[in-house]
Amino acid sequence: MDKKVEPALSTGPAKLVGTSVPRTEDMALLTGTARYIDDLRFPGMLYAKILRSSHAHARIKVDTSEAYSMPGVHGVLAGRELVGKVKPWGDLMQDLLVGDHFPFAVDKVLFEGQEIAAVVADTKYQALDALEKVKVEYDDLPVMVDAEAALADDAPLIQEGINYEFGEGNIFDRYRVRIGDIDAAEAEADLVVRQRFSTNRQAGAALDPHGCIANFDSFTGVLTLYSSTQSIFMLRDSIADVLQLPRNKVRVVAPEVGAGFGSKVQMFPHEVIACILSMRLGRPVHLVLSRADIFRVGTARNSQIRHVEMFFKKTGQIIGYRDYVIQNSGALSFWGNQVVHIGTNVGLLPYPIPNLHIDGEIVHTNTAPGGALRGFGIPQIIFAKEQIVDMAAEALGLDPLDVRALNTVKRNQCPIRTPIGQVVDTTSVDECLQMVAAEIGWKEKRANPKPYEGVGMAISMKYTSCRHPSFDTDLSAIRLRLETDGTVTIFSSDVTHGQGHATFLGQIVSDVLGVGFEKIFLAPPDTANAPFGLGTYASRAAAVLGTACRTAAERLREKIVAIAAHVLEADPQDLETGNDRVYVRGMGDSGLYLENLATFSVYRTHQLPPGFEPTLEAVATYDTPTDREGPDGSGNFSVTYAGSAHAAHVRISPETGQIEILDYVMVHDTGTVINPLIVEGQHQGGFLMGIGMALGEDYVYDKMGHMVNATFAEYQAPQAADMPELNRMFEIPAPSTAIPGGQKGAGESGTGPVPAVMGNAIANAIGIRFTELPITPDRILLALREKERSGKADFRYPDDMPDYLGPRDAQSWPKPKGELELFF
Amino acid sequence: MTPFSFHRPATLDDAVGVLATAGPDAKIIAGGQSLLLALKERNARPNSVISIADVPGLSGVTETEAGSLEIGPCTTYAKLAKIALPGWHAEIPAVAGNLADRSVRSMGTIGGGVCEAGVRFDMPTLLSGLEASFKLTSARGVRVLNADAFFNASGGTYIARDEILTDITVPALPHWSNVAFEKFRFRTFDAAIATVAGAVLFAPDGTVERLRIVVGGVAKAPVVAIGTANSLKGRSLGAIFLPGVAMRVSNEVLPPENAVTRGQKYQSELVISLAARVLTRLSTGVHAS
Repeated sequence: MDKKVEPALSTGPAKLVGTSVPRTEDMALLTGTARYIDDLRFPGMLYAKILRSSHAHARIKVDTSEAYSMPGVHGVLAGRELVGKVKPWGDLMQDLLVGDHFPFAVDKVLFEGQEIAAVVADTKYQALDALEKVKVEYDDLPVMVDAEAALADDAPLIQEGINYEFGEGNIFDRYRVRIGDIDAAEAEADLVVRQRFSTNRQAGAALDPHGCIANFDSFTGVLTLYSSTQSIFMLRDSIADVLQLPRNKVRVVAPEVGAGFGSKVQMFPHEVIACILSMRLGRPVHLVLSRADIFRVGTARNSQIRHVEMFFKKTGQIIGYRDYVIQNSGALSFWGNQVVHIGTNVGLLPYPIPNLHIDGEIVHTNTAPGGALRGFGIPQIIFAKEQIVDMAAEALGLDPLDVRALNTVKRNQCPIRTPIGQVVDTTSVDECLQMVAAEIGWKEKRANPKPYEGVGMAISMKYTSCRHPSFDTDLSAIRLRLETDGTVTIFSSDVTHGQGHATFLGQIVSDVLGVGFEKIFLAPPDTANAPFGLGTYASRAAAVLGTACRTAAERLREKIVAIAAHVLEADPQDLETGNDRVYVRGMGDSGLYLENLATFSVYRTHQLPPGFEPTLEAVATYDTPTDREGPDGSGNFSVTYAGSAHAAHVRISPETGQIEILDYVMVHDTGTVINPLIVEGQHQGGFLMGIGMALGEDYVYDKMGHMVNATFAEYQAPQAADMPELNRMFEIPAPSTAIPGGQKGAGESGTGPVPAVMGNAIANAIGIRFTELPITPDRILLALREKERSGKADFRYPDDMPDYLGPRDAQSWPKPKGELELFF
Repeated sequence: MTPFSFHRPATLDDAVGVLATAGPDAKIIAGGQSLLLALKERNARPNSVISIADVPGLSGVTETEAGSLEIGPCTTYAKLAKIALPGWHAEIPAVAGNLADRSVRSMGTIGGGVCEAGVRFDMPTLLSGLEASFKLTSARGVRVLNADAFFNASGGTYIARDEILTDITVPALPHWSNVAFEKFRFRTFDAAIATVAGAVLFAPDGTVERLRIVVGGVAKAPVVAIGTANSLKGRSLGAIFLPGVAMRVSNEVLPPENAVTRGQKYQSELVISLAARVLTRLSTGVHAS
């Protein structure tokens, strides 16, 4: 070895946390050797397919008799025979509060795509052939695509026979915030800006389809479910509950998961169906959904109509926020109501607004189920709030940058508890704001406007982890084992699906134990051997799982050092770990190899210190010090908050309405970054999801509730060729003090500001304020033409279009259906 | 996908023979970029699929003695895009190289696109604009249709069930002085929302002798703006307010009273912009390079 390396060796190797270690995961992904759910094959495996409703709202009669006699068919299943045998489920797994989910529609379909019957056969084609023999009679009912229609007093009931907290009707949850005195704020305000905003439905659109293979062992009675899921334990407990099986007889394993974005963080009917079929037949059953099915049942972002009023002082100070939110969560929804609660609470940041009055109604419609999706309600409220900040600045003759700077929580105020209760431990969002303005050329570009060009910005904060209001937990766990050859195995139930768990957990373990990074292996997520954890969602991996990992590694290190101290007859305080060894400080080229210590712990137990419990394993669980939601809507749901400031420079084509992003700058506070490469990728991905929401994606329904764009050809998800260079990304770290390693969430902070940034930039470019998403070239061009025709200087789309039927001003806004006096 | 019998005839005679006997549900496949998708979704359920991908003589571009181009229907877009052609013929490889995505261009064929006649496809509009003609071969013999007779105004083509498209002929360079094609789509890989093809023959004095403007995407087949084009005969394009002409093109192919939905209203605005670009290019003689 080169002598120059020696000094480094004796002082221990450089730490890996904070460096862009290339991702361990990438080789398998890039060479196509990673095995996703549809790549798995088991001996004797059968294939199941699901017949889905082609109507959005109808009473049904199902006759499956002819399907049984089709070639290759082993079984046919429909809803009627499962009534009383399978427990309905809904809401969150902890209590299964609402029984609105069932494997199949029984008497009535609530949305296009709902499960009606399933066939299992030797091949998937035989299964599809047999499904064509299932006869369904539809007796159509009125279809409600819009949340406002579903709220009408005379609207037909979508969910029949379900007892929601709020009685009959299509409202399945209400939300309210009462902080401060909103009436006083209104009286005190120099300026009130009122605007209705509406947002779109958006698909997770993970390329790896939703799907599973259920494999019931009729000898041991163990049901193993391989599923493309973000959360193996939530899925295991839900499956076990619905099928009333002992939880130790249900095992859930995640293969490689090709992304989820929140769309795979619940149990789906297809998973229950595959399990029932496998249990009946004693054979593995493969059930993978088509893209069209995933659009229709794989959950979509919840669309919101927000009636926002913001109260300002002349200086630009925000003194109040009032809002009535109507959220479309589709025909049934597992997480939809949580989106309003958490998204609204956290989305109010980074402004500690003293007076808040918010009502929300979460409504069923005959559309695709609403679920979790990257950003979880935050992009929706930011789209409204950050555009209102620009509107207010204009009305007050102020620079929107200055209004934001005045109101945002600042680094030197931290830690701070905001009026709604968020505890911001640290932040640099105020600095991110100034940097993004400097980098985009804010002052110069606004001072020298060019026709059809504009700049816009927005700031937001995203939670890192989340204590869900009806789900009182926020934990993750890690188990580590030092193997007898000096390698380390990490066991975790939080499924990696793009976040690079094998890499960043490896970096933490390598640093703490001094074990070579290449010797660390992350075991596939498997409920049979992993400690209980909630899963990978809510930007929680680096902070929550990372903290559990650091603690587990420290515990394991303590054990390793104890053995070494005993063998070396040294004081543990004098020992260090590094280079796969434990050594006396300053003597890094000597010491005991971890391999030997691990061998002692298992095969040479007489070498162990007296009383040492053999084997070298350590487990740690980390639950965040976060609050439950208070009756007034207050609470600190997240352990820390990641800040982001984004700005765009755009050009609009007056010929086609096309939006060209000339420059896009992102400045983030992700705290202490474990792996800059991974975080950069997360921000780029977060941006892409945000730009899809802003400029293209939506679930387009006809009046009969048919989704007409459920293909990747029609659905306007962004593609790489059309995206700007995403190389203008900066970090201003304000390491978290709540999280021992200083990490903050990275996965979603790139999404929140994007729709608002685009709205503000487009308004700056062409003087048209878009209050509806997505902002597509057709809408832009038609708005431009109408603005020219009307001669209006301040033009809003769609509010000022001649064919717009919604309320144009606050006087005609709807009021919340009922004043909620419910305390929970 | 439902079961079907698959044929791979080695010659054109074999292909038309198999097609003649295969019955009404037979489908021809070349690059498969339309049919395979339809099969996968069970939207097409042919009893026979006849591949003409291996039939000799159906691929490639040849120039005849008269200077016209004969394009084999099995020529892929990718292959077409690489062919260097002089004058306005260069618009054909330019369009072929800028549609769909690379994998579709590598497999998809010009003949497949023309026979599928998707309203959002580029080639039907372009070829109609150029006044290309289409040779159809069957066991009964051969017939040649011009574009207006080939595309069915209510969608699809007039290819008979026993016929195979065996050649696309593009007129020789002197047929037109200039050709221009413009389209718009949201994403690079999308099919077009509207397409406009224009072709002009100038008289020796520089005035319009013949003008043809074809718009795709707004109806079930490419629409020829005959009235607007004819009205410019004898005029000098440089002396006309072209955006005004473009508006007349739009009004002719998509009358305002028919533009009801947001999509249609947008198309009518878009056609104005695209037609203006086409007319400007025709008047200034800018070719695709």
